[in-house]
Amino acid sequence: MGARPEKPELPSPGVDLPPDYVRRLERLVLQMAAKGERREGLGQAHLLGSGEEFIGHRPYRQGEDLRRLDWDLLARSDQAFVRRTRREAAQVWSVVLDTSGSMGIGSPGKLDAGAQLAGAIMAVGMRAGVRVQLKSGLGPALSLRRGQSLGILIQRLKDLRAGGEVGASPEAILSGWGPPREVGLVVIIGDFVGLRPKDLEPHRRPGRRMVLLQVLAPEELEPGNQLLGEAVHWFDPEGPEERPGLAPGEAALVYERRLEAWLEGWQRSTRSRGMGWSVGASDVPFEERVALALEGR
Amino acid sequence: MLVWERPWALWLLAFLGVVLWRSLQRGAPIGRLLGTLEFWPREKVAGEERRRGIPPARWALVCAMGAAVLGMAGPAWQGEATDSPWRVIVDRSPSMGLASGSEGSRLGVALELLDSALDRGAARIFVAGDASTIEHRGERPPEDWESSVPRPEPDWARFDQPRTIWLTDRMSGHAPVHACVVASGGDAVPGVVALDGQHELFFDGIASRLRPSGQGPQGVEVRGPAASQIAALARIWVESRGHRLTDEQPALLITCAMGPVAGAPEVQQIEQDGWSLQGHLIHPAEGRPWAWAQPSGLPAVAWSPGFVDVQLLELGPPSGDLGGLARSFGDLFDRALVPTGDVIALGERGAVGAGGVSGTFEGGAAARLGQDQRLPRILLAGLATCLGLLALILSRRSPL
Repeated sequence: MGARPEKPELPSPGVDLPPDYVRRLERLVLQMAAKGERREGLGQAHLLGSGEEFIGHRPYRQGEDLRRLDWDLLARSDQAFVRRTRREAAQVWSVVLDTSGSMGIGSPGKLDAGAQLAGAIMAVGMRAGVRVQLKSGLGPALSLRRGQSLGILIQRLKDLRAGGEVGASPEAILSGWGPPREVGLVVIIGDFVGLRPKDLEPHRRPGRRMVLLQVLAPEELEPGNQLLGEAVHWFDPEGPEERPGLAPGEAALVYERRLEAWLEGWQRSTRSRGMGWSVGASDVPFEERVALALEGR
Repeated sequence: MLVWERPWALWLLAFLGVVLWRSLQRGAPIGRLLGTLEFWPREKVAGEERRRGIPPARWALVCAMGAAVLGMAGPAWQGEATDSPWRVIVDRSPSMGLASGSEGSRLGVALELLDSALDRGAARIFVAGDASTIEHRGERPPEDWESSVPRPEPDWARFDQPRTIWLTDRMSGHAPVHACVVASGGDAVPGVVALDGQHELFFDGIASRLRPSGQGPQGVEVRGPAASQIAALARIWVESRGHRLTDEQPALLITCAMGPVAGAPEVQQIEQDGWSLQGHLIHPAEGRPWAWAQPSGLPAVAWSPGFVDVQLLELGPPSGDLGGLARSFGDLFDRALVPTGDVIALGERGAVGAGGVSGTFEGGAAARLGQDQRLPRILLAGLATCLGLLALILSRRSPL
């Protein structure tokens, strides 16, 4: 057995957006808008449309249009409630991006892929007139509206660094920061290594859609195929754990079986909770995953 | 010792060493980060001990190249050739002890020539040509191998083998196929060539002449049954030669077989020079065979200097040419009688011409060396081919 190698630095700690990222964003925004209009024409509800689908009630706030008051409910319960529609619930989107150390793995890096996804979702939301928020780490959320420059978003994405601060994982963010009540769409992007489905429970709301976009590095998904039998000594990027450097033979198969069971668990848990979920490698183009996340339901 | 014809080619092994070293470096585990490390098994998994290391195909290819490089360097087992000793067959007949001018005996001159023909360090085994079981390993044969004892000349044809040297005094008459010849040469050496109780035959270098002997008679003992015709003939020979019969330290002991004969042995017969003799063979005669018994094919009469051994228990008188019988046994007794002083047969004292050396003294070694050179190369070439094919096969299963 060879000598134990040194624990390597994070291979992709930063965000390196592709040069044509903005152009691809604009094209995606147009495509998504067109799709939304087509769906509306067919009478289908859509996050990006102006659907009047009833999804629940909320207390009446002073100064609101009285036409939206639910008079029947007022008569029955003697309390003022407003009917909530899907369009209203979707007026604010929150994107939670994992910037923990494990996101600095992969080629391209998971954080890089996650940032591209987050930027794309926010750009689509801004185009649809939605107020979008980007929450990562301990700092304040970045909030943008339609008409604001994409440059602010791009710059914020470029400033992200994996492992740069404690509490940058989704579970840590969600435990200390909850999406505002008016948020109709919560998108969580990360590798979800420390996240559990029950961590999401406190943030479920009537009329709020939650979408989980899981990003894993190619070698995390299929280490046996990616490494071609190379002897690898594995290190945990966020802790002291390690595995000795043997060829990924049978161990890789065991790993892949366990990983598959874990991903199936995520699929079951999110489906039973009415959440959207998808997993993809960090080298999957963001267009494919954004469309799936915003169109699903 | 392994020697190389082109040792510079061995430097290519260093190149292969670098390739292997680099491969081992590549085979060492690399450090990688894995966010989902919790799913990687902590415990050992069956089959996990297989270490990446160098791919088998690359091992095979590097070994094939190594074998090819070694073959290209031209290996040869030089030690085997040089360590294989030369067998020097020594002519121990009396002529080898004769002086050869002022340079010492013919044997001494022949040994000097041998030294000049062979490498000083070449291993030698001296073999007595008249008794091949007597061997001596060293630079020089034992001193007593040079004597006037009438030992016969070697049966040279028996010793015509590679890496063999005939050490004698004359070149003429020797045309070996494999063996080499070292001959001292020598002029005629005057001296007494025969002797009896009254006269001696003196050879002056050109001719022989009879002259009165200054020595007294020699003692001869004859043992045998009273009825033995051979024993009677021996006594007559003693008397005619002017020797005396004695049983105290005889110069020649003649033994004729005495009974009884066990069982009903087959009748044997010996024939020489027109006469024949029948009898029972008691034991094979000991010494240098002179007459063979038929049909057994065992020696019936043998001799060595100072001894004549007749093991045929005679059945009746000899038949055929009885004069020839007396002459044959007389010559045998003359030959076996240990001479006194410098009595050496005329055939030994004659001139033998110029000496010299013939044969290829490196030939045997070179031939063997050639074989030795070819063998490692053939083996290495075969090995390189096999390993190359193995690498080709293995490369289809795993990356090279």
